[in-house]
Amino acid sequence: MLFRVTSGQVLFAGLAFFISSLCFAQIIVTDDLGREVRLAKPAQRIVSLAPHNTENLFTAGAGEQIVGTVDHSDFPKQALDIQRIGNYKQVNIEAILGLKPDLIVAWSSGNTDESVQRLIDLGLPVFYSEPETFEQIISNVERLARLSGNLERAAPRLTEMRKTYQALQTEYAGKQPVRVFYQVWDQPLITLNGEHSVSHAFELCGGINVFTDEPTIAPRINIEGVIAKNPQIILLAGHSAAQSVGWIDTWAKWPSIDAVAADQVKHIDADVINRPTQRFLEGTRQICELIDTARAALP
Amino acid sequence: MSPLYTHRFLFIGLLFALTAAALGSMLSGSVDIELGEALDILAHSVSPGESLNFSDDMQVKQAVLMQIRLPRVMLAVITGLTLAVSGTVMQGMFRNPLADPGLMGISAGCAFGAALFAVLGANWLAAMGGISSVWALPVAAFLGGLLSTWLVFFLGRSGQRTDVATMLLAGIAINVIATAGTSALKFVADDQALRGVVFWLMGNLGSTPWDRLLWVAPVQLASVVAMFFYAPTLNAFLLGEAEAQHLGYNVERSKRILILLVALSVGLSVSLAGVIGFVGLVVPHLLRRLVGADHRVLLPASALLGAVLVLLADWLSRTLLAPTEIPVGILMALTGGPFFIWLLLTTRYRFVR
Repeated sequence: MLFRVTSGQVLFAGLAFFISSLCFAQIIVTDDLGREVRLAKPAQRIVSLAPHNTENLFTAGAGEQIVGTVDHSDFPKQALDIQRIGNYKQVNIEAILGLKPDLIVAWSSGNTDESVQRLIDLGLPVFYSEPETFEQIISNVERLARLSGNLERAAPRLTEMRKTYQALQTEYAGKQPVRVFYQVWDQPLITLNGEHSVSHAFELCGGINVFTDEPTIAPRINIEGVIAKNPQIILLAGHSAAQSVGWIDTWAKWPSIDAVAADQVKHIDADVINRPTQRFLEGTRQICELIDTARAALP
Repeated sequence: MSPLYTHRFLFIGLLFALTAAALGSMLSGSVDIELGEALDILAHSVSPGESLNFSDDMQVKQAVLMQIRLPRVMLAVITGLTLAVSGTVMQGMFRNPLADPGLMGISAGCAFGAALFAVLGANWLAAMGGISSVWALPVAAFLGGLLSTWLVFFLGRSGQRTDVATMLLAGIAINVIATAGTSALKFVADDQALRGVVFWLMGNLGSTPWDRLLWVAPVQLASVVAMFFYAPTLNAFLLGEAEAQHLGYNVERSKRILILLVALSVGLSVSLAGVIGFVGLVVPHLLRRLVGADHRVLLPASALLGAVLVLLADWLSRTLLAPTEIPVGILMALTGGPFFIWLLLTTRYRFVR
């Protein structure tokens, strides 16, 4: 046998590997699909495949390390200057490779599996992000900070986010429940069920989503269903206050709904609340305040 | 003996089914309304003023019945009636069992018009001063449908004649082009802009208020009634265009008028209720099996059966998963498709009896 391996050689190889791993400290992080993501050194050229990832990367202090992102990555303002590599459903693999990225931040429920799988097959490290709860949003930012070597820089923001979350928890725990109807769209009438992160925000504020038990995450419902559920506050999540105004008029015709009778049909900015980012915490604070006003108006 | 009288039991049965479906549809939904309460409300609504005596609970029920369910039932009836009669007319005129309103490119054209508006026009309208898209989308759809029908008709003309075979082929081509155009728009636009269109493409009877219904329904009804008068002409068409000409019918003029009536009524129906396929195809086939090819019977029977079918489909669409609604177009295609296959398998019937 030409290559005879002695036990001494094995020992030496093991020792060498151990020492080398100490010298080139690896970064190991578990992503939201439970996969392990390993980087030899902090990522410097990051490609984000979802608007919420871009936002979370900025919060993690890695905004300047993003070399490519998808359409609709519009927050913060600096994100608009980053090169686009397609939209979240349809990314251009060649354009991504051309950017020579050392980390891809993907979105498991949004991106097409095939295209992300191709990136994985090509040997690129991929971090799948799918934050749903407050804890998961904060942990997402933290892990992105770790991967991009910004843990120290992000520390104050992470503390701030945790504080906001805890403050909301203590403030609204045990308050009188309020029935909430959350309107995503008017034609067709769409709401969200209890699985959606927005519904978790209601729970935190002491609100009850009236359509929490619907089978689909964004069910298409009818006006009659809302009348029967009789919500005490209606939150209109239009993309602008002007859009929501049109929706308010529709509800004014139904004074039998408690929310309408008590004038508790309110606008909430969809962009703030729909993305699982730091802004979601801000949006939750707004929702809690609106729900609290409705609570005060209860007979 | 009048052919209508010969088939009197069919008509009585259809009228009964229509009444039952309309009542059933009006009595089911998230808010419980009993038959007695519904009749009470209807009686009071005919002579207003007395409704003031209603309890709070009854006032809610009155609003639900009069503002949500009644316009919905009306729209279902008028949509089913229009689509089925138009389908019968198209099949008779083209002497082709595959013809239906969709074939003229009406539905595809409407869809393209609506998508084009949603992607390009909505922002422009908003900039003009926030005109609500509630009206604009149906108008854009109607114009798109009219334009594509005109194109099909124009392409099908050779000299002074309208060639039916060429028109069928042109219809297929226009359909393909309009559908590809809609897909292209879907591809470039973001989800938000197209949400309304995608929804509307699947058919929806729930969002048309009284005022719009009262503007559009009379025009549709008038078109349908006008089509009834062409029953003898359509019967003559079955023998062939040349034969109809020899029998003394003005073939060219009839074709042009019928196409215009179909385009008008179906275009309006699609602009209000979205795309609901299959009614126009299935209803005439089923009825031809039952009553034969005489359009004097076929047309009014189609009107009734079409109304019943759309009513039932809409009823199912909003009760199966209530309060979640299934788009009625999807439900219609899912139930209509297998039914049509069954129809094909059980009878190798001839198109003209």
